[in-house]
Amino acid sequence: MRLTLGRYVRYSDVGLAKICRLYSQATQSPDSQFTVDMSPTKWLDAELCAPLAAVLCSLEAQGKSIEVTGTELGGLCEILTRNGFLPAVGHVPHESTSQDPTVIPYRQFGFDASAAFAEHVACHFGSQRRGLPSMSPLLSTNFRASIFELFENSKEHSESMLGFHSCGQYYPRKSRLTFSTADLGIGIRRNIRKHLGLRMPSFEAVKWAMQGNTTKLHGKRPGGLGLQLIREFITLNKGRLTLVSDRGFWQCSPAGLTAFQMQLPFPGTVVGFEIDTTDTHSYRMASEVDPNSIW
Amino acid sequence: MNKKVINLVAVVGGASCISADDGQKVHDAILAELKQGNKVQLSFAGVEDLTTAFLNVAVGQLYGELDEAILKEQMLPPVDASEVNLGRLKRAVDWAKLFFANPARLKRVVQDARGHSDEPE
Repeated sequence: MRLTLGRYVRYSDVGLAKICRLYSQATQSPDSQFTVDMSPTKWLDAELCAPLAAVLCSLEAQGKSIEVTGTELGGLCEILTRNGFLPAVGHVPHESTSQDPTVIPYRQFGFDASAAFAEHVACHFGSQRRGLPSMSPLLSTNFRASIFELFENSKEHSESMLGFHSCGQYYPRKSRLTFSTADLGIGIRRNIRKHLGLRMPSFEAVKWAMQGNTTKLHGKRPGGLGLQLIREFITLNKGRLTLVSDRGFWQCSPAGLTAFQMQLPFPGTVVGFEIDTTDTHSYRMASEVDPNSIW
Repeated sequence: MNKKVINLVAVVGGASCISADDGQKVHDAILAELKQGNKVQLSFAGVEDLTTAFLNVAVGQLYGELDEAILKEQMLPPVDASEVNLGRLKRAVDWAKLFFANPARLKRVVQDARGHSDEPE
């Protein structure tokens, strides 16, 4: 069966819905062999490689054979090769391409690979990293912390055995740095159902989680703060935070807050954020913290 | 009552204090000292990356195990923490206090959230 994504695929509700549609078409088909034909696609936002690769990984884990074709020529091939997506999905380019310093490579990590993930983040977001903008120390610190919070959040809640997918891109002309993650876990809606016995639509579940609520009501360890801090940071930065889990879509940006039920589900959770790298906001707490008042 | 300085980087073995697993190592080190009646001072010297996932386990957990009064008495002000990390620590501790001290509030959140879904289990 031949699958396509469409002509222009942006990191938006529409672009993410196209990936959900591809997954749905593959899972509902009796075929076991699929071709993802990229030839009609003229543009794919690099950050979408994380959820796209996750979906392909999920299909392969279900015993389906996936081949990515149609990228032999043109800019899309170069982009998806430079960021490691095509090599990762088994597509070997005909020509080698040069390193692009604006790329944050696509990678898949097992949840037992915290150290490897930390090394990946240090390598690609460290102060010595060529090609990325010089950001204020507080911006850089908060950005890195947000990435780590996403990994640990996914590790704690997803219950996925298929790891964590990540990818990013720096857009120098727009002064925007993006980072996207995807897991193939049970999703927020099922997590809430499992741990709290609550039934709610996917988009309500995502809204509930983004309000700082937690499924950890009875455990020994508090939870629920990580996503809230990421949201606060992105809001101060006037960036954009997007979360898709199952059929729930949630996004906050300077344009406002959006949450709705998607037509088709993503088989896990996708979180992506985009920051303004020129921001010099202080990111300080409203008042200075007195070390004597911590405990 | 002795004072024991626990350096996070030394316990974790690196500058990245990010994982819940590493947070558990710090928690265990703190609890061992507290149970011996010692005062504990956390040193953030050398910490580069810090997450709430780590802090929830490292220190947040303590508020479910010990009385807040004991922690106030035996946990000394942390040292060598950047303003950002001090802020995260404060947020994690305040969150833990709320989590363990007010289960009724959290149960009300659950009750208020009850709804309906036709999506598959």
